[in-house]
Amino acid sequence: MTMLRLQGIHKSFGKLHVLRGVDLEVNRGDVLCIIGPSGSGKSTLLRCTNLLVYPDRGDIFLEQVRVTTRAVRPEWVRQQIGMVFQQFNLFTHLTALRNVMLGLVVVKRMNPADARSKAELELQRVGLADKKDAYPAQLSGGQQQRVAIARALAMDPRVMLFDEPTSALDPEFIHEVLDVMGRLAKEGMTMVVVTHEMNFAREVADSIIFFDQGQIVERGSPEEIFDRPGHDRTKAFVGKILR
Amino acid sequence: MTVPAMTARKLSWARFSGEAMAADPPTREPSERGGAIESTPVPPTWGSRARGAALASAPATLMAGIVILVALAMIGTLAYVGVINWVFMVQNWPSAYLPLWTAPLWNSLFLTIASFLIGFGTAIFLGIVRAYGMGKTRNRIAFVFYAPVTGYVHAIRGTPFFVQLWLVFFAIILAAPQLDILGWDVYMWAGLIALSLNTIGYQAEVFRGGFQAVGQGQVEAAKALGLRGPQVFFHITFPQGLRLVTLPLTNEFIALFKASTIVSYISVYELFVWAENLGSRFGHPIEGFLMISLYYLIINVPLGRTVTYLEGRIRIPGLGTQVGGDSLTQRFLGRRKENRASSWSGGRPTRTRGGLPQPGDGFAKMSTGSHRWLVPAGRERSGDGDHERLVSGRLLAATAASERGPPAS
Repeated sequence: MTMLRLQGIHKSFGKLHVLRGVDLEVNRGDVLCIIGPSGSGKSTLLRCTNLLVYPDRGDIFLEQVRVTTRAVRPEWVRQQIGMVFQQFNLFTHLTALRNVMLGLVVVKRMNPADARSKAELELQRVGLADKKDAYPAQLSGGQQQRVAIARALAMDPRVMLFDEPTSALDPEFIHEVLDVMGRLAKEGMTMVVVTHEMNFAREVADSIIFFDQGQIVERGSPEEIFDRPGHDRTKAFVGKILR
Repeated sequence: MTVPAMTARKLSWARFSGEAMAADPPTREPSERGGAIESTPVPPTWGSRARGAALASAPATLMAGIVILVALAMIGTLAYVGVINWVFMVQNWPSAYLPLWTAPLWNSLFLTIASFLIGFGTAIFLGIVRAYGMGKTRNRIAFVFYAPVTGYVHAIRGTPFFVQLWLVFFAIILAAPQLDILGWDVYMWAGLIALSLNTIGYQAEVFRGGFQAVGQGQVEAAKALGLRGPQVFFHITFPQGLRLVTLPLTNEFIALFKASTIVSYISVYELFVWAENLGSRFGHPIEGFLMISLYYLIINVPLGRTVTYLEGRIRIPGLGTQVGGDSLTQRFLGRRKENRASSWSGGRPTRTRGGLPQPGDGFAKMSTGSHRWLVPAGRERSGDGDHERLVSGRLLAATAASERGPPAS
């Protein structure tokens, strides 16, 4: 069953045509990895998906509901779609626990006691129960990113978007974040992951998209993309990355 | 075998031209490579950073102490030669704050505090308008007020307070010459309004800067959770922005307190008028102004220090400026800081003063041809190069290679 569907998405920033007609479908429980050179519009595509950037043209459907209409508030859409950023973007003035609680209390109007116990549970899921009172600056990059994942998960999103979640991490912290993401995928979360971690993509992804110059160049299973790429540009990119 | 000492420039030239290939044997003993290698310029990383740390602690406070002593000595000299009359000062001191509540000191303080608080309450909103009234993601309501608010801010910041004061004064005195609200006359009100209008303009810009300094990534993350614009502001931008503006706001308070002397020109009876009266009535102008200087100092200096201290106490890690927290004793006697730079002592914390390792703290002095070093004990005679010594220890002195003769064989 289709969880998320993008149809003919176009987006320009001034004269720069970033997204040139993207059609995309993600089934419930699938993990879709998007790879491609930097500047190709992968991040913009994710940000369009949860309407942080409003597409110029095209439609987005979340479980058959068209969300690119005036009738649907973007806040509602974002609440359904969790997002994890490259730079973590934790709230500096709040502890890890409060970071996770904020959305529950403010957006979901949960009472603080319930929100606290749910937040503690989410932190436990990413293995940071003992760090709940630490401020973001007191956490390592990997821990910060795991808090960011817990923060997004606490909202019970239907889809999770990951925008290069390990690119800003020191190599020693990458695996702990990828572990959490892998576990999440196993639990059946629908995920769209922009990543440069090819091993992760190969192991976890159900399908992979090679994205270049604002368009989907090729979509296929990990074996198809990595071992038998059909397109020249995919071949060149994969060859460079996997060398 | 003796290798002639060469400067770095000569060496590189020799390498470049190939002249030295014959003269320089390719393999040299470590003890003999000294001349050429040590003459390469050593980057002053350690030296300059250590020097900065030292300046920041003990010597700086020492200098401040010296400045104060010199000032006191000058005042003392003036007193000695009879320009300053101590007895006059002591006798007249209480008249600044007695009778309570109507005295000049209280008037000055009241005008400052009241206008600052009025400014604070108002400027938050003007700051919001300034921060969110323009740009791609502007707020519709803020946009409506953007032009007038911007005009106001520019008008306040672009004209002298003295002129603003007279404008307000004449406007009020022409409109309501008999004004008497809450027991304050038209002069007091004119002073209060002028100071408030002025500080609103400045504080609005302080708040704007504070709000805009909050990371855009966090704003985006909050939006991604489903927070609406105002919710993002109240839960993310405002609490963080408020912490970022504490120091600029303290500056504004101090500036405002000093600017409050100007309302003396519309005959508000505050500290400056008091000092002037003392001077002209009793013929002691210097004493009068010295006395109010002291009043301003004993309010402003502790205030700034208190805010810095409180800021350190309530600091959230990773948010705001990284200063403060030292006690007065530490300020004056220098900080004995636990230094955790592991390379200095092989992982053991070193007691250092002003950030510098000292001989005896597990360090020893050594010298190589041209340089003198402080290195971890036990490494004085190892075959380390300059770089290793620089990383593990500290360069004490270096002699320019060109001034040296050939090393003794």
